[in-house]
Amino acid sequence: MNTVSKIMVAVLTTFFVTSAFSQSDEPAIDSTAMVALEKMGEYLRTLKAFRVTVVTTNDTVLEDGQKIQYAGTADLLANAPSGLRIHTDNNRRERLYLYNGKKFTLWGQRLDYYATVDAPDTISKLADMLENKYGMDLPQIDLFRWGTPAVDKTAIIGAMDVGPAAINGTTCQHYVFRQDDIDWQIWIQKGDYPLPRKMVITSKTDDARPQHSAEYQWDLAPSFNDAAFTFNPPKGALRVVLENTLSTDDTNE
Amino acid sequence: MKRICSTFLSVSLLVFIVAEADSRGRGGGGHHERSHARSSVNSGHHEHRGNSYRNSGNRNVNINSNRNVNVDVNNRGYHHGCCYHDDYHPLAVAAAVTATAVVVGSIVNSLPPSCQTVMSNGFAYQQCGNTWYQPQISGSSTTYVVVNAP
Repeated sequence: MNTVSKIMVAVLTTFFVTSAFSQSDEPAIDSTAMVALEKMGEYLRTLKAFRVTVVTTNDTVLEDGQKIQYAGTADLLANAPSGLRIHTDNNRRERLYLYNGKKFTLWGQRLDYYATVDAPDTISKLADMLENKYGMDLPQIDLFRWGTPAVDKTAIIGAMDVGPAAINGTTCQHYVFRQDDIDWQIWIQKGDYPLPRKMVITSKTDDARPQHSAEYQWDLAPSFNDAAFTFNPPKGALRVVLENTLSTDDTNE
Repeated sequence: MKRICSTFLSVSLLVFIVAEADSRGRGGGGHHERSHARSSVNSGHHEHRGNSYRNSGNRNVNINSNRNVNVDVNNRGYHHGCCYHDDYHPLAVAAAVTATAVVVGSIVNSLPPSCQTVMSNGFAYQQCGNTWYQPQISGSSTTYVVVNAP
């Protein structure tokens, strides 16, 4: 083969090889998105006392594929590592989660029912116990897991920096992430306080692709006292059992 | 050649439309929940499994009582029979619960009519006729387990 032909073969081979790579299905992971996520997590873990009010929407999928969206609020007061008070309300169920480093109480005021169990000494351990022993997710659990080893970094198979966006008047940077079961998006406040200001999670395990969204307003200097984290049963409140959804699954599978 | 192509295209489109319509007509199940959106990134999301299980109607013992209790709610057009996981339990308006004995350990989403709260060892129980229920609460629902008299 003469030199020109050899060069042509080389060029064509390179072209086909690189085409093959660019046609591969593997999504790209933008390192700026991963770094921003790390910085946000690190910052969150420096907070000791904070209050965050969250406005949420959550999709339920009916058997025929129709989606119903419920709006809700969560008002969370934390005094890390062992004080937590979360009030949630989505117009269908209202709950108060209280934790003071010793006891965890779940109170349904409209039902007049509450459940109290012994609890470990940190919020992180409490979240693990509730998840592993009762099959229960603490609301807004991500706010306590970002920046800890509980985050599974290998779960992220795609990450992209979408660009700047204003959330409630504050300039944020918008990042999107892909995992196997979910795609999720986060808007991180720009500047000295890299707080999450909005998050959207799209569940891919159902074809209807239900979404959950949350917008956050932060108060980094809340005023409170220790009584905020201890439950005093009001008159008429009835003590019941904290449901263990794990054993429910087991008996029937 | 052009005519064959356009015919092929029209036929394909027609097949596609028919197929779509067919799949849409199928599966019109009704108002039970089959899933809901995951609300956290960093969790084992157990609650979601629990919830979608709860509405699949696998609990043989109590299927009849639950269905009957909720029929009236359906007709009133409020709950539409779905979304049990709320604080507004459907009122047990009719004596719809059958007289058959319920098995200890089975779990219901709402109580039959005429229950009385009884305290035992600091915990509240619901006594409904001859059946005793222990209420249990989670972040997303309230259910009742059939128990032996405490």
